[in-house]
Amino acid sequence: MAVILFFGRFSDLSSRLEVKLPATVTDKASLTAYLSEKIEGFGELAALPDTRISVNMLVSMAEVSIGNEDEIAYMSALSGG
Amino acid sequence: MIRITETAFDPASELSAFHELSSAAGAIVSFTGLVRDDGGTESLTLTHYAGFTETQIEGFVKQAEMNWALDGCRIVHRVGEMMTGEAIVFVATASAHRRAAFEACDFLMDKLKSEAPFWKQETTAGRTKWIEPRLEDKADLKRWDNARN
Repeated sequence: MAVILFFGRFSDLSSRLEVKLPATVTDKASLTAYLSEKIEGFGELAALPDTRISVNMLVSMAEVSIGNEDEIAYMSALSGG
Repeated sequence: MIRITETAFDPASELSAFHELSSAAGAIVSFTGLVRDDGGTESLTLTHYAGFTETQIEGFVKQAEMNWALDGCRIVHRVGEMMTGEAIVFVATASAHRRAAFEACDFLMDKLKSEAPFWKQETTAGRTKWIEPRLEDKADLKRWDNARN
């Protein structure tokens, strides 16, 4: 099961999810598209320029593969400390 | 030392403890950030990504150590709900000389304000809203563009 975490404004839309990803979800882009269909307002928030996505606590601009053993976090713009 | 805590902390005690550990340093600089009352603020609630947030802050400390000759550094950050007047962040740096301690402390605060994975909600008159990043904080961070990464 993949674990999906939501921080900042994303936490208004959903709490932590543990899901078996469909075979069509293989990377950040397809996961975002999948969640956009499931969660109202998710796609708009994910498209904002300050949104960050981490996979197993690593943030990368490059596309990375995603599987059911991964922890993915969606983070809205950081407020800072 | 980096500590993220849901419990209120005493900046004076943190400074005293850091001073004891840095007895050989020639200069210690500290900064304490407090929850400000922006006209009726009742509380501030911070969330973080446990594990990830600490790792990011460790990276900031490594950057500071690459740029200034530090003898030590302490960062304490509150998360959870806090009231106006309470300490939200404490940063202390120790060095042989004051300039390095001042600049490293300033650098670390700018990194924490703009790049640390925290999300803030402010409650005023019973209404809660997300706090967006401020342009001033991003401008402050740009002062360090020439620092080594």
